[in-house]
Amino acid sequence: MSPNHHHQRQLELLIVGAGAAGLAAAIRAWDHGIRSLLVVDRDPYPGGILRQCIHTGFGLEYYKEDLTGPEYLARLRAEADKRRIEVMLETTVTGLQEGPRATLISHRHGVVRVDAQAVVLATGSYERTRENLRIAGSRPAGVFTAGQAQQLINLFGYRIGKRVVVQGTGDIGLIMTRRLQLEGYEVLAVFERLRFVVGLLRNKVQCLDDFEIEPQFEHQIVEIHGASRVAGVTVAQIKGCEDEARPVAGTERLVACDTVVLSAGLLPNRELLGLAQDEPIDANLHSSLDGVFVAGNALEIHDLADGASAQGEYAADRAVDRVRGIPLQRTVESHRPGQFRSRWSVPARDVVTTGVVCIVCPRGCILTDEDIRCRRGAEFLQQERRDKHRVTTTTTWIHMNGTRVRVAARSKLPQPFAVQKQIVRQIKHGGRAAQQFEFTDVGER
Amino acid sequence: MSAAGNKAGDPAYSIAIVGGGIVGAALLHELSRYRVRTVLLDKHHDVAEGITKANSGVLHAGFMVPRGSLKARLNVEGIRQYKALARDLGVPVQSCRKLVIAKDDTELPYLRRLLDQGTENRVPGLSLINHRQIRALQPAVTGKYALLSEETAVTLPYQMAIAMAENAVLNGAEVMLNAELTAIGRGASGAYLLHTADGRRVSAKLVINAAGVKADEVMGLLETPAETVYPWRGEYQLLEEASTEVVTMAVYPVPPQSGGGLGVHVTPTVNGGILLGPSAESIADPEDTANTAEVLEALRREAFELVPALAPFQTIKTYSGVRPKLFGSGSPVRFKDFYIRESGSRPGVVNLLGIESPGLTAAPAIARHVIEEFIAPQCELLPNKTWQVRRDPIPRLRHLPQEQQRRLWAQDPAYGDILCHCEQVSRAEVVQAVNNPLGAVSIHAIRKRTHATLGRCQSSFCLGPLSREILRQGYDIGAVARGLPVHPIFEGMETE
Ligand SMILES: Cc1cc2nc3c(=O)[nH]c(=O)nc-3n(C[C@H](O)[C@H](O)[C@H](O)COP(=O)(O)OP(=O)(O)OC[C@H]3O[C@@H](n4cnc5c(N)ncnc54)[C@H](O)[C@@H]3O)c2cc1C
Ligand SMILES: Cc1cc2nc3c(=O)[nH]c(=O)nc-3n(C[C@H](O)[C@H](O)[C@H](O)COP(=O)(O)OP(=O)(O)OC[C@H]3O[C@@H](n4cnc5c(N)ncnc54)[C@H](O)[C@@H]3O)c2cc1C
Repeated sequence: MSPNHHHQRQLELLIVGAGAAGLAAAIRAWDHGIRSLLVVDRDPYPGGILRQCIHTGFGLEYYKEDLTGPEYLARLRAEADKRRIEVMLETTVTGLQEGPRATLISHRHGVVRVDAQAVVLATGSYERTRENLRIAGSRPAGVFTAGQAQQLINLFGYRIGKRVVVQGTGDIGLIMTRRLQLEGYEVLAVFERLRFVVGLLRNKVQCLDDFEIEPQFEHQIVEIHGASRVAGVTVAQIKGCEDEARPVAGTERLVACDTVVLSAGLLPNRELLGLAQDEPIDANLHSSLDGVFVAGNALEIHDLADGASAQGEYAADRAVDRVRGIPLQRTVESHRPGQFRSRWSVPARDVVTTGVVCIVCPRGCILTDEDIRCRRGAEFLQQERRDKHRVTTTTTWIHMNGTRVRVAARSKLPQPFAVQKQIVRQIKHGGRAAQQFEFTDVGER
Repeated sequence: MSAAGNKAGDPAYSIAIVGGGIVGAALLHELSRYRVRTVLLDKHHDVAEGITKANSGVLHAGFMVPRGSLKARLNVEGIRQYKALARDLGVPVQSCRKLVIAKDDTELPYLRRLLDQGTENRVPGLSLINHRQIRALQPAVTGKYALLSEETAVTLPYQMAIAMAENAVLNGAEVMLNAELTAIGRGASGAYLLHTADGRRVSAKLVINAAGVKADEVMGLLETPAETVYPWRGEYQLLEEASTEVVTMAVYPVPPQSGGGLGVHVTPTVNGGILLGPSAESIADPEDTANTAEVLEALRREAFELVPALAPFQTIKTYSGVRPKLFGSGSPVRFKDFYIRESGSRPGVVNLLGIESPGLTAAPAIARHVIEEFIAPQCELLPNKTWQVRRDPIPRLRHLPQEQQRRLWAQDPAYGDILCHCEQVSRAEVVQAVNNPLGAVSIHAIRKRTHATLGRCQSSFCLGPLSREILRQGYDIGAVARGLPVHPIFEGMETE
């Protein structure tokens, strides 16, 4: 490995980030005939957030199937592999300049300069942290953002605590409320700043209603206690909207716990654009850095991966035009937020539930005996009344050719709700239940 | 591994230092230049876990302290020594300069007093400037007049303490971590016998008490403390890195009358991002470093009065530090000098009380002062002929030019593996931090040495990868939070 090896590369298209958006963009660009194409990702495995989203609810639009995150990823990867698209992993883009020109660094190749005719930035998002929210109190261990908790539990197999309070009912908060319980944690309370569940209806049903958890609305953690490890939190009722929201004096109360999971929202990660990151992105998804397009959560937060992928494709179309020298349709318009929102995504707040919410697909139909809309819905309603069943997921280590591999496990059929926790425990200990499960690599070793 | 691994028993040391903050570390480092057996004890799992890790990080020029005081002399000597030592040890110091802002004519006399005081203290590089000059220097700052200090700089206090302690250890000094001093007795030979909470014993001829906010308590193990240490908390918040574009100089107001501190100021940090704070509040528990909602609000308000253009930037970190003052909030006293004296009734015990600001700046000079005044007369100090700067600073990949990055990578490809994305810290840096000469292993220890986790995501991406790296270096999951012995960050691992 000489330091002069591979110092420099010329490409037609560089894609930064191999998540739902970046991989879809790459596949699309290839299908347009682009061959001088490289996808880079800093992780040891492609997929971005998909790797840790081991629950189902992915791909209904894109693949017309109800997949887990890792399964959705496996499809995307298979498509990329079939085309022999070059995906360079464990490679971080550390800088992006005019040109566009990118600087990459990796174990294998060291520092590499890439000159591309176009770049698609699909770098995902950040989570809002405790510090962003300026939550008062001490700073003990045991405060996690929801996505961080998801990564630590699902990908790394760490146990992050025992008795947990969750703040926030966005999708990640909901998903983690369920995950924690399935994995044997005690969820003591779920607090929500607003007056309604923020996430999708199907997530509310499966993550709160199923577990008979009633979130405490208009409540917020205002202080964290504990010296080395969290000992508890003070929560208070809050009034007022958005930035004006203030705790109501006299409503504070202490909740003892050892872990706090914060789901306070995601923020697009466009740091590579530097000073241009706050400038508008136009309707071509083109940033103010010439030749750089943005897609997926890096542009706006998508509640479904399908939307991120669709936007990745759209950005690829424009980027390919650019590579081909086809002038982009001039536009002064900024991109339209939510344009790639799936018609499947039904927020919980839009629905007043009077019947059984169908979770077969994200459409979230309300089923009553008079109103059954499809065969699968009818079956679901029947089963739900007899004995609630759910597709069960977890993660575990397996050994393959002497290597320890982290895999997501998903039950082939819905399992009786009441025994889910036992099943999860069995899977982790290599029990018999394994035969009823399918396993997908999530890329940790 | 260092002395941290020492078993019970009593090696006879000439000097035992209690407290591994900047003061204890500076003293250990100075003493390592001599052939004298020295040990430093700290109750935490690493050095620099007390006041030294939570302050403004400003190297004060020395015009804020009254003429003739120990503070004035040690400050002015200290800043020069600090800068020189930092250069030798590879610790960053950024010459940012400082403005003390007078909003209007009524505040001008205060600036004049500071200028006079600075001149008396022989502080170079001071001048009074007007609003036009302020604008020219810092367009985002408003004010009618300002005192400009050329000497003022910012540093990373905890890295300096670490560098000094590590270099001292590499030159033969010893450090005992997780060693909380709980009792002091007398041994047969007349030496002092120091007992730690976990049952270790250390005997030493001289004991230097540099225990920061706990120094009066430590003194109280032997006699009635000469002074009470009153804890005054200062809260901070750090704004995201992009805020660095707005101001490049430390900007201070005319301090409030309460006497608690220098007033909420705006300080650039070596690491990028503007620091707001500190507040000043007298509190009961010297180790209560919590943040409060009211103060966090107030900090932003007051700081944005000084520099309005900072308002849009997000807070990425909040913290607080506790000043060890020698007067309480009700006291009419407005100034007390450092208390650095040998005990009258316990010869050989030197107590350092009230080492508040400018304690960081003064630390190297405090160390020289303690050696000259109290140690040299009682201990033969022969030069340690093999002494040298032995510690290689951990390179900060992110701030190096590409050519140098390539060279590092060619030596060790782990420089190409970025583990902390916000701060772009590589595996190679992390591994060096984990295997530090003090044997301090934790996420905190890595953070202080490499800046990992200090960025915008505050570890939400990298806690897992960093923890795994600690495991790969052969430590167990408990070590991930060695600093938090009661409750580690993780309860454990899934069984396989
Ligand atoms: C907890 C959770 C639950 C969800 N549940 C569902 C669901 O049930 N159904 C559904 O359809 N959708 C769901 N989503 C949404 C969906 O997963 C995301 O919107 C989508 O996967 C985002 O894809 P992305 O490619 O934009 O970003 P990411 O997946 O975040 O990918 C970004 C990639 O960029 C890489 N990267 C970033 N910076 C750099 C750099 N400088 N150099 C190199 N690489 C870099 C990262 O490593 C990462 O791999 C969920 C999301 C979350 C977080
Ligand atoms: C808000 C604030 C802002 C400041 N800003 C500045 C500034 O800008 N410039 C400047 O020059 N100075 C500043 N200072 C002052 C400076 O930070 C301190 O003077 C300096 O850090 C003190 O170092 P120390 O070693 O005395 O204390 P510490 O760093 O607290 O070290 C004391 C050590 O003793 C240990 N210890 C305590 N009890 C025991 C025991 N029983 N057994 C074993 N170990 C024990 C603790 O673990 C601790 O590590 C500021 C201080 C504060 C609080």
